[in-house]
Amino acid sequence: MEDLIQKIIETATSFGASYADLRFDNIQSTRIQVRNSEVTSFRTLFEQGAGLRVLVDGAWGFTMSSDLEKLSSSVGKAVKLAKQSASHRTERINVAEQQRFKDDVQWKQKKSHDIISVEDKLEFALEVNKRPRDLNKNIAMVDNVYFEEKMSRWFANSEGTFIKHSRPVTGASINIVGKSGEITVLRGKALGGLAGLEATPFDKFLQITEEETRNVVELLKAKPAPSGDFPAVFNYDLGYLLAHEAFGHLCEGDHILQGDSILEGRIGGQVASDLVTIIDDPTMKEASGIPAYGSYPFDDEGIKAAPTTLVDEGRLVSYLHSRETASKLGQKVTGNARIENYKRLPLVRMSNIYFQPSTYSEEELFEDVKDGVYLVDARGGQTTGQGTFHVGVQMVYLIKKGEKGELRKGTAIAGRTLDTLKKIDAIGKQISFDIGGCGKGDPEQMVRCGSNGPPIRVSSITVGG
Amino acid sequence: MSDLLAVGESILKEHKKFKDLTAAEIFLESTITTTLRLERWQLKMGETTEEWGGAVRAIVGKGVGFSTLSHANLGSIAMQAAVENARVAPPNEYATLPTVKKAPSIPGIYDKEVEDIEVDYLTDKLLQFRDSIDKKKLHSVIGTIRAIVREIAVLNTHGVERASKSTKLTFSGECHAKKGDNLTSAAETTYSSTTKSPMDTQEIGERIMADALLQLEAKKVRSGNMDVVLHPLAVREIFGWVLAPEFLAHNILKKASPFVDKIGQQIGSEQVSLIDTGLSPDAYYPSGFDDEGYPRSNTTVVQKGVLKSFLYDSTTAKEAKTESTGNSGRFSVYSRRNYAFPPTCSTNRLTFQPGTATAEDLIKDVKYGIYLKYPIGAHSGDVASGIFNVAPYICFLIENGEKVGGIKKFVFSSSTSELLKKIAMVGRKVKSDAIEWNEQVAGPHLMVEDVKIVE
Repeated sequence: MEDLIQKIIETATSFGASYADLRFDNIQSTRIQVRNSEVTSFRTLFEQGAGLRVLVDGAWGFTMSSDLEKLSSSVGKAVKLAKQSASHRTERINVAEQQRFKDDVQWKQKKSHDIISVEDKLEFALEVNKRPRDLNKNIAMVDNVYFEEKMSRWFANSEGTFIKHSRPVTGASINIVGKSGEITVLRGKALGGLAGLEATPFDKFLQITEEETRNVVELLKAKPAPSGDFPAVFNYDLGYLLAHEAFGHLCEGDHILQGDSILEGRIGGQVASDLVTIIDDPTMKEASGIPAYGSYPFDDEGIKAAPTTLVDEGRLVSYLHSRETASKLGQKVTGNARIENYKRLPLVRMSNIYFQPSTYSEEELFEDVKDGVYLVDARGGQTTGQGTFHVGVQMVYLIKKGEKGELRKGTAIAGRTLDTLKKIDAIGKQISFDIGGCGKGDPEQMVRCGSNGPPIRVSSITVGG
Repeated sequence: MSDLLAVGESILKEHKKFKDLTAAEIFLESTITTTLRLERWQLKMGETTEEWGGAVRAIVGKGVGFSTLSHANLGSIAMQAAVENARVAPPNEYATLPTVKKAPSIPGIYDKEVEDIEVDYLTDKLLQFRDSIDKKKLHSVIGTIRAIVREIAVLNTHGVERASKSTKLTFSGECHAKKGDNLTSAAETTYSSTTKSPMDTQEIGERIMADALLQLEAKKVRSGNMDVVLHPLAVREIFGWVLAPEFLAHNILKKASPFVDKIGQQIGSEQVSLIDTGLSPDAYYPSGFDDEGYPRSNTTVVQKGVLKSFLYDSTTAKEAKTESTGNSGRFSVYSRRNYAFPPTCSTNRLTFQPGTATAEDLIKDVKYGIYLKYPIGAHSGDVASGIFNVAPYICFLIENGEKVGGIKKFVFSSSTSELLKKIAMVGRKVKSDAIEWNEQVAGPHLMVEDVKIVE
């Protein structure tokens, strides 16, 4: 394998590439999906292939194939396409200088996927599906997934870096729909991690399932959320969405280069209240020692992972970078180039972005709110380079005179990112960990991200009703 | 015989090794793409990719198993994995694979000129786009152009054996204008199956430049109820994410749609007619058959506001004791087409039937309202209830029948049931601007009355 990879890279340089890198993936996974007792997917996936990127005359070329031999024969095409782009450029693309690594990193499973039979995993998935409908007759639909994956990725470049990283993933997720007359409500939750079965204890997920069933039943009785501007406490998941969706994407170096971020040219400027420090950390671990969901030892350009402080006490101090964006903007490489799989090009992505915790307990966050809302759990978010965002909210509690009160149905919040960050007036002390994903690019690439952080409080946010 | 069918046949033969196998299906997909990207006024990258993937669906008794492969030499392992999964899967009373039925061929979906396209052709189109945008007035410009050749093949042990080849030229352009701290965006996408249809990248450039500049006139909208004109991109986003799944049989059968038991009822205004145009050559993935090899069709879902039909694949049709409408698709959880996911009920191209008004006609009657070109947040809508909230990405305030400036902040809350009933006028031109991960709905401009906006 190593010889063939090296040979392809040598072919690229012999064709005129000043730089070349290759990513080879070997993935095997199992996915069981159940919808109201019907197994809608019982899948074993086998996937392997490689993608080669070349830098020729200051422009990029790319080719990929599931067959390494075929990839060898398409190197010339990638070089030709790069030259075509280069012939229409007035300035050359460069990659920032970096250290060379040789490493073989294996993230092991404490509880191997193999210690439980596939029949038992299927039984677990079916039991998760059945439990909510046994508990309450108003549960109209349950859709849940169990998944496990083993992946090995090889990275090599023309500078002599050669890295292999192997890691497991295990997880479970559930969506529960409650229906009463014309009223329908939805809750979703997930559990998992970059580990073996220890990341998804079956009994814990069944407890989560029961708790979410109770939430759905309560939501069916709840009134709609209020609409207008309110002081709000965001639970950890919504705080994370604000850090990731509303702010983090604006820090991505490729967005800066594309002119699609309001943070362009703002390094050193005040972008949030003094209380706010935001960090992206691909080395982050959960309390159990399992790597947080967006973690990696090296990024997909072979850069050793390290935390990056983006905002320090309200001031923007760094963007997130690939080697190209760091070179162009004259900043330090941060190791944030990631791919979904070998079929795609590296993009600048977040890993585990979070608000640095402060000192407030949950009760203290509520204390100063006379008439506001407590927003619990996100249902998707989206942002624009213009600095506006939209986040779906699963549950809302009214806050009256500092006390968490009546439950209301889900809603959405929207606003301007920098206005909202400047309105953060308290940050919780307890950091929570969860699993998440993020889509970006054309074609869209999904990568795993840690949905981690403390709860936060903002003095005002627009709630959709 | 196409190469894919030949590979499919050799994998399907593996089923003979398993005496307990009831039925098996092979789906194969090959996509060869040439891409050029433009970033901040300069060509940045060229890509040539060949994606190849396949899937095996096996039925043992009434259990269904599934596996995928990224290389033909994994066929034997994939067949075995699918059979093993099927053996332990609980029985599904409705598990079935299609039998042979004649599938129509769709003319005009393949163009040899696209398959043999010269990179210079793509470069010229991209540079025409760039050069149509005034560098002195705009902050940045981004563009991507692709030539795509896609082949699929479906085979099963009931004798279904089909292959289809199509081509596509796609273009997406985006630009940004900046004045002080105010950054605005404008974007459009388009596609065509052939080089013979004009892909006017220059016209797109001029149009989005005007959009980006007009939005620099920053406006605020007052909270309240008002008329909203939806651009086809907004129609695709809102109705694609939330409405389209509500007509799919698997959601109807599980009672996870507001339209359960509403066949024959008025669910929209008389302006609303929706046809799933499975036979349209304008679909992003056109083919005469669906992803399990069943013939596609044009199915009237809503006619003058009255709900007429739901959309079925073979499994849901068996459960509902009806015929498949040829609506089987393979999509990931993020609504991207993906061979690695089992076939499920999906729309082919749910299309709002055009009316007679121009976009200008729709806008000119609005005294105070919104022209929403591209929203964000539709993907977080709730299919079961149809409730959604969106915020603006590309959006204009309308005053006295004219777009007067850009709006960046509000929440537009509604439900698909409510919105369908409030559609007052329908534009006359259905736009082909689907993108890879959300192709379900195409439409013209729509004017929706009395929509709640929270600033």
